[in-house]
This record gives sequence, C-alpha cells and structure tokens, in this order.
Amino acid sequence: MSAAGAAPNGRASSLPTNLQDHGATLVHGAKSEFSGTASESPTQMAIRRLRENKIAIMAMVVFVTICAMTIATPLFEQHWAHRTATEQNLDGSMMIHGKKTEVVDLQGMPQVGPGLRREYTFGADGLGRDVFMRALAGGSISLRIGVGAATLCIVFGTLMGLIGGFYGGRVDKVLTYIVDVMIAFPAMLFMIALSAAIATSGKFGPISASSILVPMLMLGMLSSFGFSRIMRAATKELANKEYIEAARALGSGDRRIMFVHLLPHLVPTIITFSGILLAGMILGEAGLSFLGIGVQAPTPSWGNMIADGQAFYSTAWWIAGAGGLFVMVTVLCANLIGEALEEAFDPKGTR
Amino acid sequence: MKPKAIGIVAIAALAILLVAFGPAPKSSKGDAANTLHVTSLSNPDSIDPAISWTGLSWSMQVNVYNGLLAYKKASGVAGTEVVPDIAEALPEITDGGRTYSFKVRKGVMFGPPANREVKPSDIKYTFDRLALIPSQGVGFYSVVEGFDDFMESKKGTVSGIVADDDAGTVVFHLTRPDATFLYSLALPFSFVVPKGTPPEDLSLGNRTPATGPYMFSDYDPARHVILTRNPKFKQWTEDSPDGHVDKIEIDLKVSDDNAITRIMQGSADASLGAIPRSKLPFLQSSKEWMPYLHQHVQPATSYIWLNTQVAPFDNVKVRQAVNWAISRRAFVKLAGGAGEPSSTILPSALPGAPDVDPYPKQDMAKAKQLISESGITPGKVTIWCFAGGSTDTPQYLQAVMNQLGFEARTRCVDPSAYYNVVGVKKNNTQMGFANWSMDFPEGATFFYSNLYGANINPDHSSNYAWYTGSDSEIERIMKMTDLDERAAAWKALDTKMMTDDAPWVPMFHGVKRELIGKRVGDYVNHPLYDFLFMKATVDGSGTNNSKEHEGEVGYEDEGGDES
Repeated sequence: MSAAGAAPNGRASSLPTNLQDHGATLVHGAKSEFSGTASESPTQMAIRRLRENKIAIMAMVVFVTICAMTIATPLFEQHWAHRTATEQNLDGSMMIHGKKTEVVDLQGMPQVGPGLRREYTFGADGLGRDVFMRALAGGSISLRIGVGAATLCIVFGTLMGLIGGFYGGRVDKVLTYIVDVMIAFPAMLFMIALSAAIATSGKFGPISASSILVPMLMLGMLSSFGFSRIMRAATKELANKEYIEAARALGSGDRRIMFVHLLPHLVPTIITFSGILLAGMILGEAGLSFLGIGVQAPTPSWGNMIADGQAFYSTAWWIAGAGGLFVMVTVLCANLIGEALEEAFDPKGTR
Repeated sequence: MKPKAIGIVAIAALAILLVAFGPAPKSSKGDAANTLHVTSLSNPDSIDPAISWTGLSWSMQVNVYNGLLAYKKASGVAGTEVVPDIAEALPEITDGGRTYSFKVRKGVMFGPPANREVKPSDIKYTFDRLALIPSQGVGFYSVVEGFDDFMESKKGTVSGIVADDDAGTVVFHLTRPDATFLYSLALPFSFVVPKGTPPEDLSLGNRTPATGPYMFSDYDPARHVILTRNPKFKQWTEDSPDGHVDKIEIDLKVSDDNAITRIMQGSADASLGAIPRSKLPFLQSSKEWMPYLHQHVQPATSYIWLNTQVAPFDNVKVRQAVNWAISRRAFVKLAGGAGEPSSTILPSALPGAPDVDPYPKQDMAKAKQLISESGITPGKVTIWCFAGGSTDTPQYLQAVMNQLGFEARTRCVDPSAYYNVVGVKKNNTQMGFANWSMDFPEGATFFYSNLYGANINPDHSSNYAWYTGSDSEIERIMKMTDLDERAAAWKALDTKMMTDDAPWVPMFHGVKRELIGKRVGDYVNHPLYDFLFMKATVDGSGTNNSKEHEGEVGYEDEGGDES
C-alpha cells in the first residue's frame, strides 16, 4: 500500500528548492500523471472528480440534510410535533381517522403509527414519545458520537502511526506490540466489560457513566489502534523520501519533520478513510446502544431506538424501523462519500 | 484414489450416516420426556428455607420441604387455607391462645443424606436455627417465648418451644395470643431441617435434606436449579401430594422474552418471570396460544419505596408530591395491563383492603405545590430498578421526577442482587421499585413485614422505606385476636399511613399472567407459590392446562375456554 498520492507526488516533492516553502504545497503543486489540466493542483483535481461523481453528490446532499435536520431539531420540535424527543405521553390520546385513539393502550402497546401529520409523523413509541423527533434527536447524538469517535481515532491513530513509522527501531517495536495486543482484544467484549465496570462505579474518570463521551471515547480509542497501522505504513514510506532527508540536512528537528513535512502528506490518506471511519463509528454506536452499553436512556440514539423497538417489532414496527432506516441511510451515504473521496484522492486505486 | 483412501472415505461416510439416521441416545430421550422445563430471569436469593424470602425461591422450595403446617396445594382462595402437614392435625390451642400443642406425624422421612425420620426435636431445632442465623423471617416468630432472648444471647435454645421425641409432640408457648401464628407456622421459614444443621446459608454445597417429593440435586446460580425425586418420600395425606414428573429443570438467566419464545417452541413448559408486554397482543389474539395463557389475581402490590430517612424523602411533603405526580394508569400500561391501578398498600384481594384511594388521580400541579411547600431544593435522585427487564418503567418515573424539578437518574441492578443493595441501611438508597406478595391472607403480611420499624435489620431489611412512623399502631393491631377487627384496623391504618406519611407510592395491585406449555397437564396456580410443579404432568396424563381456567381473571372476556 502506498500513502495517498505518494507515488506520483513523492517524486515531484523531492525537489529540494521547494522544500523551504512548504512540504504540502510542494507536493500538491506538482504535476501528476493523472492530472486533467496542467494548471490543476491535486486538491482541485480531487474536487473536480468529486463533482463529477453524481452518486457522491447525492450522498452528500442526503448526509448534509440529515446532519442539518438533526442539529436543528431543538429549534423546530415544539413547532412541528408539539413535543420534545424525550417527552412522554402515556396517558394521552389523539384523533385518528375521526376516532379517539389512546397513544398507548391499556396493554402498553403504541397505537399511533406513522402518518402524514405533524404529530407522530413516524408514530409513537412505548412511552408515547414522538418517534420522528426521537430519530432526529437521536441522530444528533449518534452523529456527534460518530464524528467525535472518528476524530479521536484519526488523531490517536495518526499520532501512533507517525511516531512509530518515523522513529522505527525500538519505539516502533514497542508501539507495534501495543497495537498488536490491543487489536487482538475482542473489541465488543472489551467494551461490554468496560461499560459494566463504568456503570458500577457510575463514573469514567471525571466523566459521568451516562455521558455520550463514554461511547465516544471507547469507540475512538479502540479503533485508533487499527488505524495507526495504516498511518504507520504510510509514514514509513514517506520517511524514506529524499525530501525528508533534505529537510533533515537543512537542520529540521524530528518534530518539525513529523508535523510539517510528513503530516500534510498523510492528509489525503486520512480524508479517504474518514468516510469509512465515520460509517463504522455510527454503526459501532448503534451496536453499543442496542446492547444497552452506549447511549443511556432517556437520551435517544439510533441504536437504543432499535433496541426499544425490538420489543414491539411485531405490532409497532415503526420504532425500530425509524432508527434502522436512519442508520442505514446515513451509513450508506458515509460509505459512498468515503468511496468517492478515495477515488478522488487516489484515482490509481492503490489503496 | 488409492484403496486405502477409499476405505477411509467409506468408513467416514458410514459414520456420518449412522450419526445422522441412527437412534437418539435413549437416556436423553427418556429424560426429556418426563422432565418439567422451567425458565427464570433471575436466580433465587437462596434455596435455604431459613434464608430465602422471595416468591421465586419459595415456588421451588414448596416442592422440596415441609413444615408442621402447610398452605393447601390448591389455586385461588382455597390455597390460603392452613392444613396439617408434618403435624397429624391442627394444634390444640389453650391458655387463652398462648399455647399451641402439636402431635408430630410418624413416618415422615428426611431424604439423602440424612435418610431418617423427622422428630419433634428437629422441629424445635428448625426455629433455633432461624434465631441463630438470624433469618429474615424472625419477626414472624418473635412472639414465641424466649425467641428474641435466644436470638440475642445465642445460648441454650428457644425456651418457648418444647419437643418430646418419645411422646411425638411439640408445644409452642407464646408471650401473647397471635391470630396469625398458624399462618406463620405454614410459611417456608418453618420448613423442617434436621437437628444440627449448620446455622448458615446452605444453598450451595451440602443442602438441607428434603422431606417433600423432590430434592435439590444441583444449584448453579449462573445456570440452573435441578430438582429430582426424593427417594425417601411417601405421600402421607392428600395435602402432601407426590410429584408426577421425574425431574424439574429450572434454567436461570433466561430473559422473559426468550422464555416465551422457548415455551412456544416447546423447549420450555413454563416461566417464573413475567410476560413482556410486547408478546401479549400476539398471545391474546392467537387462537393457538390464548388457551395456554393464564391470568390470576395476585394478592400483591407493586410499589415505589421512598427512603423516609434520607433526603429528599425524609420530608413528608416530597413523598406526598411523588404520590400525586405519578399516573398509576401509566404504570399499569407499562406492565402490559397486568394490574389494577391503586394507591393503597393492601391489595384488593386481601381482607382489610381500603375501598378509598388516597391519591385517586394524577395531579402534577398539586405535586409541584407540595414540593414548593416542602422547602427543599430538588437535587439529584437515584431510582433503583431491576436490570434485564424493560427500561420503560424506570424511564417513566425518571421523567416524572424531572418534571418535579429533580435531577433523576436510574440505576438498574441484577434482580438477584437488588434486594441486597436496597435492603442494607448504610447504602442510603433513595427510591426504587418493589413488589410484595402476601405471605398469608392478613394485613400483617404487608405492614408488619415491610413497614414496622422494630423489625428493621440494618443489614437485610424488607422495609426499604426504613419507615418507623406507625410502630405503636402496628403493635396495637398485632395484639388483636379477632381477624375481622384486625382487618378493619389495617384498613384504617392503610389510609392514614398513605395520607399522612406516604412511605410508599403504590402503583397497582397485580395480576399474574403465565404462559404454560402445550404438554402441561394438571396446572395449578397457588396464591403464594404460583405454578405448583409437583402437581404438573408432562406425559399427556391429567387435564391439559388449556382446559383449566377456573377462577382466572377476565378469561371469558378474552376469548373464553376454547375447548
């Protein structure tokens, strides 16, 4: 595997005269055998490729719409559904087809299904809450966890990969052993055990056990070990390039080489993986919450909505259906975007 | 292919054919045929009769142990009748209700490893052991002369129990007449153990020898409880029935949802848990399964306890506020409709149950007014709940508490550990859920057991509200000997306690729903022990449970007997 753009750009970046400007500028300013026009930078080229990818554009529109709606939920929930995502309505009733219907009947079954109306657009759940509002509010939580965990994964994974790949030798060996041990752990079992311990103590360091930071940290940190392997390999390849040697010859310190000359070259790799990582984190959150160890009730998330709906799947399918649909569409979009980014930044398909 | 390889392939193919089409191992087939398979979400608190005080454990123990007296092994009101068991007859009561004399039946045997006859001295020792442990049930027997002294000193024996092995008699001397003493003697706490049985929990390892038709042959708290035939058992009266199945296997840690699925698949015959509300619509609309769904009035109250000694519930106005703030109908809905909304402590099925609801309707405005009058600043509150079940009920209470201005969080723990957390005083638990079923058909089973301060054991109490405010009135009623007078007094106390002190937030009085497997015959649901395993058949003999719905709640309304 090679780092993003390393094969064509690496050669170009070996020009020592450009090094003093900036490593990244140097690389991106170089001509590529894949360039469309002579004046196009690699970034412009990637954007052009992205714009030409209709499926990716559609995925982005849907993804951004979902993100915008979930973030804006607190602004319109009272005007649209006349209730918040956590507001219960066990004793309420409403008119459906001219008939007064209890939102939840005496047997505890939700009686209000999806319909073309503002209240209970996606139906009611077992506590009489509005499933549409919960799906949107839950989306905000799931996406925050997904983005947060993916960011953590990228930051820690990149840092570990960069250090290991750059220094090599003992440092690399130690980091590799740690990564190997952590990857050998069954992640889901580890998270279940960790969650049980956190729930018992009620706290995770200074963080409350019910905080969304808990699943975010667990997912982000545990995934970062796998990601660090990719970054290590990419760093190793870049570290042998002539421009790094030139930078060293010009007196740049380790830190400067790592963060000024190497890190910018890893950005395309990070970008291409970010979509896939985000999709993985959203699925991970859904899995954790489904098992009851992620986002804690009454805070909604797509995962715990699926778990809540599981009990009613035969009669009130819309509860799990809404959570499942949002997860599926969002993850599909994130994957399509990730794929498009990969094609845009790595058209050779070397990754 | 070489001839050797062909030979190996042929042998392998023959082996596969034999395994695939050969007869099933005889032992497992015969075993399954006459084994009753039951499931349970949690494991029993203990299977030692001196220790346990949960319905789950009692429903197992009743098949294994016997006392001087017993509750008749029947369903409905008949099941609350006290009948002689190891005693030859009901006792002769003399000395103005202070002396109870029993003649002990001959020929009742302890099973392995004791393998000997039950003697009056064993019965006396059973009560000595209760005091030595001390058992949670000691409150039932503190009326016996010398019981409390022995519990404190642990020297000698309980002086008020006199056993004569030669004459075959045992006599109880009480400090005062006690109208409920016969009921107490029929409870599992007084199930007889051999003299010398160590005064410690014998759930694991050397279990106490059985006297009933079955014995505990294995108990693994993480997996199962297995009951097999007691080889020494011989039925002595119709009230000490022999069992029909050879083995009773109770699988533990099976979720209520899975339990129903297993019953429908035929791999389980009954569940000791509840029917999840998600399964009810299907079961109630299914022509195939509706006849196997049984619904009984349960003399039980599901309630929220409020710790009267810990803030904010040490303030009576806060406790009253919670009582006004909740919708009892909502709780019934969350329990799948299995109950009757009520704010009284005594369930309607018990004598003395009030006919007036102190908190008849949810009134959030009044609740908020009371919080404001209480002078407290609502802060953090932890709601204790059972893990493994639906989270909707705790979530509903959490939302109500938040509406009152509190910052509520839920803390759900394993059902088997729950009472060991909330029943320990130093844990200062604030509020949580509980359900109390009657021990016998008298108000004391609720007030004396759960709301009498003098009974509080700081290390293991069932008074989760740590309430002591009505001790003198409870003592006064306990001294009454006329059951009708007592019922009237409990009724008045119930209303007064809920109105003035509100240590509980009663939610509803229960209805027990059970789905019983298609092959089970002679199904009996006992008011105290639920499904009587010993009476059940699984071999097609007896009346199939789909045809037994006598006295069940609302069965006619829900489809009627489809036989």
